[in-house]
Amino acid sequence: MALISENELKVLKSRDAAAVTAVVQQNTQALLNAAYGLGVRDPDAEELVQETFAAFLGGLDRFEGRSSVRTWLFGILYRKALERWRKDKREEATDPVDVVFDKRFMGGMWSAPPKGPDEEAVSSETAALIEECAEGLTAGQRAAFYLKEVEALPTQEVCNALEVSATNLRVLLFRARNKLRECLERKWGKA
Amino acid sequence: MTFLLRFLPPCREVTEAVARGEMDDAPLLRRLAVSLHLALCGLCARYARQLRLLGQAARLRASRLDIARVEALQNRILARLLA
Repeated sequence: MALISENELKVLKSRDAAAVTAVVQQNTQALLNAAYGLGVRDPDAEELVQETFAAFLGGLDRFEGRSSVRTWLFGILYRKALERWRKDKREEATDPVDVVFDKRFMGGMWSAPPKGPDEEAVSSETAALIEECAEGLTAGQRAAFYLKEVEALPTQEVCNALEVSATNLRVLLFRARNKLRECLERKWGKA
Repeated sequence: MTFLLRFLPPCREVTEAVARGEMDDAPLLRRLAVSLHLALCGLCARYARQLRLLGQAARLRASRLDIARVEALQNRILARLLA
């Protein structure tokens, strides 16, 4: 994710129509996907993306170009999603999945190994199950998972967008992945 | 070959490292040790495979976005921003 050059930033801050158009065209799809990744549904997802761009343009003077434009936009989208849905921004110190994970091991070795079919490629049925499972994640866990897995952002960019430390990000990813995996295993077991 | 596992990080440590995404930034030796463990331990390999499935599913969902819808949304956004 390339950082914006000083000259490009200057042009953007002047609200140049071509520059603004380019930002919108280059980022709408990613932001809409991110909104869905956060669990926002239409028509709210489209409205959230619109508000994100409006906030970006309104707050352009504060953007210093230390993150990529996309990362900055993701950060705005994420904070707006939290405000709008009144989600508790603070992640809890503990999460039930930490205990669930812990109980799968004894002396560092598996005592309750992972179960489920040995799928190498995701089927549409599995994808649908995972989407259901994502409802059980917190906003922070969903955002971290989405930005890392779908956008493949470097760690520091994800930290910038979510305003978390690298350590906290790893905790979010750990919890997101394990919650999804545990949920998927349960659903596979019922199938 | 599985006797080598006793010289490598244990299963819990390996799966935790994979789930936390530590392999992105870990030193080479650490990555080698974890990779070797995953090559030798079927259970941990299954766990890692399931985590990869999660990422694949998310990317699959993202790739199915209707381009015409995105373009229509872009046009509405630009009409609002550039008015």
